[in-house]
This record gives sequence, structure tokens and C-alpha cells, in this order.
Amino acid sequence: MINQYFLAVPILAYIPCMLPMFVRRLSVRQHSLLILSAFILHCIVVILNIVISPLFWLSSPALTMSMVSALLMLSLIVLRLIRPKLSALDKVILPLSTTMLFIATLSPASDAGLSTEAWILVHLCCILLGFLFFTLAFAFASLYLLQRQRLKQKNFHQLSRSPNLNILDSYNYYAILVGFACLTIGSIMGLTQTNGAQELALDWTILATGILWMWYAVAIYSRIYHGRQGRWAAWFSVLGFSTVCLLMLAGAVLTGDWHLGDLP
Amino acid sequence: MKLLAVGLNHQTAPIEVRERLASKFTHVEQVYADLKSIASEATILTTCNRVELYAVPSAAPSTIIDWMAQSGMAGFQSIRGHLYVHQEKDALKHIFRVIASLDSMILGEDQIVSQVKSAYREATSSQSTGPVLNRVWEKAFSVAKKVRTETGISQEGVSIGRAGVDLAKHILGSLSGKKVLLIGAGQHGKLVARHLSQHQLGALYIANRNFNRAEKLASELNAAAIPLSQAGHYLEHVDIVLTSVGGKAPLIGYTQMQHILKERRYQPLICIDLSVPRAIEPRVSELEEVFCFDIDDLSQVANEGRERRVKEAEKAEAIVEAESDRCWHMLHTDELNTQIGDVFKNAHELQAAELRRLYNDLPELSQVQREAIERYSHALIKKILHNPIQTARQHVEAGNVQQFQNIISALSVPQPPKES
Repeated sequence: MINQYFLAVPILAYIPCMLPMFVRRLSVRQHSLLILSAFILHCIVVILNIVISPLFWLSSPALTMSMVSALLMLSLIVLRLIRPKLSALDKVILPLSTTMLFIATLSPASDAGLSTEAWILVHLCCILLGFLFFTLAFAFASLYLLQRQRLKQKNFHQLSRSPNLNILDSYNYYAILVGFACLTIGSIMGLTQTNGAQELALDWTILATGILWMWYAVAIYSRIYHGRQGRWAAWFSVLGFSTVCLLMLAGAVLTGDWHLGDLP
Repeated sequence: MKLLAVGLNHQTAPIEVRERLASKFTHVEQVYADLKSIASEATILTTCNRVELYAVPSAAPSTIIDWMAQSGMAGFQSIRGHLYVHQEKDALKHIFRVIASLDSMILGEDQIVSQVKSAYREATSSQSTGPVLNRVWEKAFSVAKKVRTETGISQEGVSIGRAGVDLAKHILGSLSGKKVLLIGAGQHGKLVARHLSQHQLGALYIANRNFNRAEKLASELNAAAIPLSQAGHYLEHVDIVLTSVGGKAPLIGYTQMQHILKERRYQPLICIDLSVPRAIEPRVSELEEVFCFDIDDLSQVANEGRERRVKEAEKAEAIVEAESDRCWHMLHTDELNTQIGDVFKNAHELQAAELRRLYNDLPELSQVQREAIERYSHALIKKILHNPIQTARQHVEAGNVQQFQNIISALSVPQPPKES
């Protein structure tokens, strides 16, 4: 049995990481070390949970969410190394990651087993990677909107702390593309591997996934064929994530079941 | 250890005086040859804002200062009053401040490092540097790099031209391959266009009421001149529009820009309006993918850049202070170690000479016996010198350099006697 409250340990490590964003007493290097330390603690917790319950890491939405949170933090660290100005993503990713961990602790205890069939593992991994990249797209898009507002309002004071708009817009688009590809593969695996269409009962998760897929398909189509980028693409990313994506995942975590109840 | 920095800069001397002194250093090889009699090592730095000599003096520092002041084109006294002199650790700190652009006319300017490197190259090729200055310059370049990477002293623009470039970069990122349209040939417009043209633009178009003026400016900036009547068509394809015209009515209106944006497929457009009154209707800034900036905005960015550099300069000063302490300690330690090494070297030479005399007097000594005697005498020298050397080092650490020198002088053994 997984101890859900064990997942709360990294939260206590991430909260101090968020304080320098408002208090501004640490240098960039010190802040990076603090985040890295919290991330290492987070990884230890996740690994311990996997070691204790090797097959539950995918069956338990809570633990899976914790893993996504860890991967999110890993992305943040890698991005900071590639482009130091992307440390501005701290303001979005740190609270988001901490919120995910908090939701994970609210999940009911789960001791459900998991089929070891490869397709289920691929299905779940792809869906989760899709979710990770949509979260990153949300982070880039949020930062884009914030930076754009500063430029439009001629608030030049904080401009140099974030990357330029072109980079943020491009990264938003690439994250959506990769997330969309993962979501497509994962959904196809799920739909085609169930035993016959008659047994596939439409549930809330499948409906939400379908809406999410259509949402990001429209975003990609609009960009390629109509040149819709910049603010329009950023809002699309932000809304797509915060309404459909996060609600779907939160629902799965809070009910402890990946596939929520059947549609009436 | 002696180090000297003497010179004048934009703060201590007007340009006429700087020119007079700079003219002395036109033929650097001859200058370095002249300096060899009074300085064992030297480097001369001549820029538009300073003329400085950094030296390890072999004569009295006043001799070098007098030599510096004797410019060929004017009286001795007229230069001397403008010179400043730094010695020892202050000279080292001054060198680091200069290369970190903390002493520059524009704080944080990045040309000084290449100018210093050029001066160092000239000094090296004239064989005018040595172990001290080589070490100093090596450390200075790393300090310059550290200041630039760990502080923001060079990051923000301080001029109108650079402010325009910075704003464009905040939106577009790299300006390489981007297209710019300059409407008008006003002073500020030319300034910003000149800065932009240094970034490998895809194209730079210049439109002006007077086509001849446009062509003339285009040839200066490696751009293409276009008639003003066609400027509207180019708005659909460029990334940045600069307007610097005189006129009462706006040149680009809201409705016109709405239509242009549709043709541009929502690509962002940066409008930098440097005209007074403004040539772009202010309502245009409300459009989604248009970013409009005027002369006040660029001035604000430039002012904020200057303020930020001043703040970053405090961090840079702290780095220079710490690094100059460390470097001075290192140079001092090197010199002390050299002097101590000389003491041991002299002692071993004396040992070798005495042993040769002994072997001449006692030729029957076997090889084993000779080796034992050599080991014994070597150990004796080490034991005898150990305590005085330790005491000397302690004097240095306590700041008593004179006591150290007294001990080293006392330990300096006489030259080995000549063999008969």
C-alpha cells in the first residue's frame, strides 16, 4: 500500500523554493541550488514509492502525478541550464508542481493491481508525457502573456528577466506539438487495444481526452495554416491546460481511478 | 614587488592633452626600447579616453613619471598636472578596474577588453613583458570575464540607439535575418538604424520624401532606398518600422495598420516612432500584434539601463577588490618564493664547491662515502635554513616585509670561492 502522505514530503521542500520569488534575498545560483536540493528529495520519495510498490506507480494516479511533478521540476532545471533566463519559469512551474503534489496527497489510498501488458504501460506513459508537455506549454504561454503585457504597458523595468517573446512562443508551440503526438499515440493505444468496441464504455476520461485532443489539434492547425501565433496561441494553451487537462487529471487523482465513471 | 600605473584619462585631462601624450606613443617599438632602461617590464595602453603606462620599474618610480610627462609636443608641466600615479596594490586594482570598464567613460562598455588585449600583444611582441606583467594580464582578462558574467554591467543599453535594439530583441529575439524599414532621415532614426544594421539584418529599406537623401543614407548603411510612396507595401513584409520624419499628420493610421496586419498573417510588428509629433497614430498600439514605442520610451529604457549599470557596478567593484587582493597576495608569494629559492640555490652552490674541494683533498673516498657526505651536507643546509626561513615567512604574513628582507639578506651566502 502506498502511503499517500509520504508524497507530501517534497511539498515541504518546494515551499521554501517559492519564497525567494517574492522576497528576493537569494542570488540566482543560491536559488538554483535550493531548487535542486528540493528536487533531489522529491526524486528520493518517488523512487522509494516505486521500490515499495513496483507496479503501482502507474496504477496510482497520485504517485503518477508525483512523478509528473518530478519530471516537471527536472525540465525546469534543464531549461535553466540551457537558457538561464528561463529561470523566470520558476514563477509558474514551482507553484504548479507543488499544487500537483498537494492534490496527490488528497488521493484515496490505492492498492489496485496493474496489468503488466506492454500496451497499458505504453498507453499510460504516453498520456502522462503528453500531460507533462502540455504543462510546459502552459508555463511558456503564461510567461509569454506576462512578458507581452509588460511590453504593451511599457513596463521596461523587468523585461530583461524573461526570455524574448519569440522564444516563448516557439517553445509553447514545440511543447504542444510533442504533447499532442504523445497524447495521440497514447489514445490510439488505449482505443485499439481494448477487446472489441462493444466493451469500450465511454467514460468521462475518454470524453475529456477527446476534447483535449481536438483543442490542441485546432491550435496546431490554426498556427500552420492561418499563422495564428503569439497571444492567440498563448491563450489557447493556457485555457486548454487549465480547464480540460488539469481538471481531468485532478479528477483521476481524487477518485483514485484513471478512468472515471461512465457517461450517463 | 614593485608595480606602477601612471597615466591620464577623460576625467583628469581634456582631449587636447590626451592627444599630446598619445602622440608620444605612435611608434611603440621605439617607445618600448626607450623604456627598457627604466622598467624591466612595461605595457602601454592608448585609447580615445586614456593613455596609461603599466610598468615594473627598475629605476625610481619618479623617473618613470618624469619620462611619461615629457611629451614631445608640449611642455613638461602641462602634462604632469594631469597625471595620476598608482603604485603596488593600487596599481593592480586600477588595472582591474580599467579592464572591467569601471573607469570607462561609458560604464560597462565592452571595447576596453579588446583594446587591452591589443596593447598586451604589442608589448609581448616588443619583448617588453615579463613574469609579473604576464601574470597580471592573465589575471586581468579573467577578472574582466568574471565581471561580465557575474554582473549585468554590460547587459543593458545606455543610448537611444541601443535601447531601440534591446526593445526589438525582447520581442523578436535574434535580429539576424529580420527586415527593417526606416521612414525619414531624422537624427534619431539614423542612430537606431545604424545600431540595427550591425546585427546582420535580412534587409534594411530607407524611404524618404527626398529620394536623393534616402539613397545617400542607404549607401552609408548598406541599405536599399525606396520611394516614400511605396513604404506602405513594405510594411507587410518588414519586422521593424522606424519613423523619423517631420510633419503634422500621422503617416501610418489605425485602419491602414489593421489591413496590413491581416496581410502579415499576425506576425508581430515593431514600430519605433522617433518623430515629434508622432508619425504613427497612437491608437495603433492597441492592435494585438503591434508593439509601438516612441522617443520617450527609448529614453526611459536608456535611463534604466544606466541606472542598472550603476547598481551592477557595485557588484563589479566588489569582485575587483577581492580579485586584486588575491592576485597581489599571489604575486607577492611568488616573489618571496623566488627569493627563498635563491637563498637555497646559493647555499647548494656553496655546498657543491666545498664538496669538490673535499674530494680533491680526500681522493680515496669511495662512491658510497661521497654519497653519504652529500646527503649529510644537504640535510644540514635544510635544517640550518629551516627556522630562519619560517621566521621570515611569519614576518611577511604579519606585514613586516622589511624584516623579511633583512633575514633574506643575512642568509644570502657569499659566492663560492674560485677553485685554484
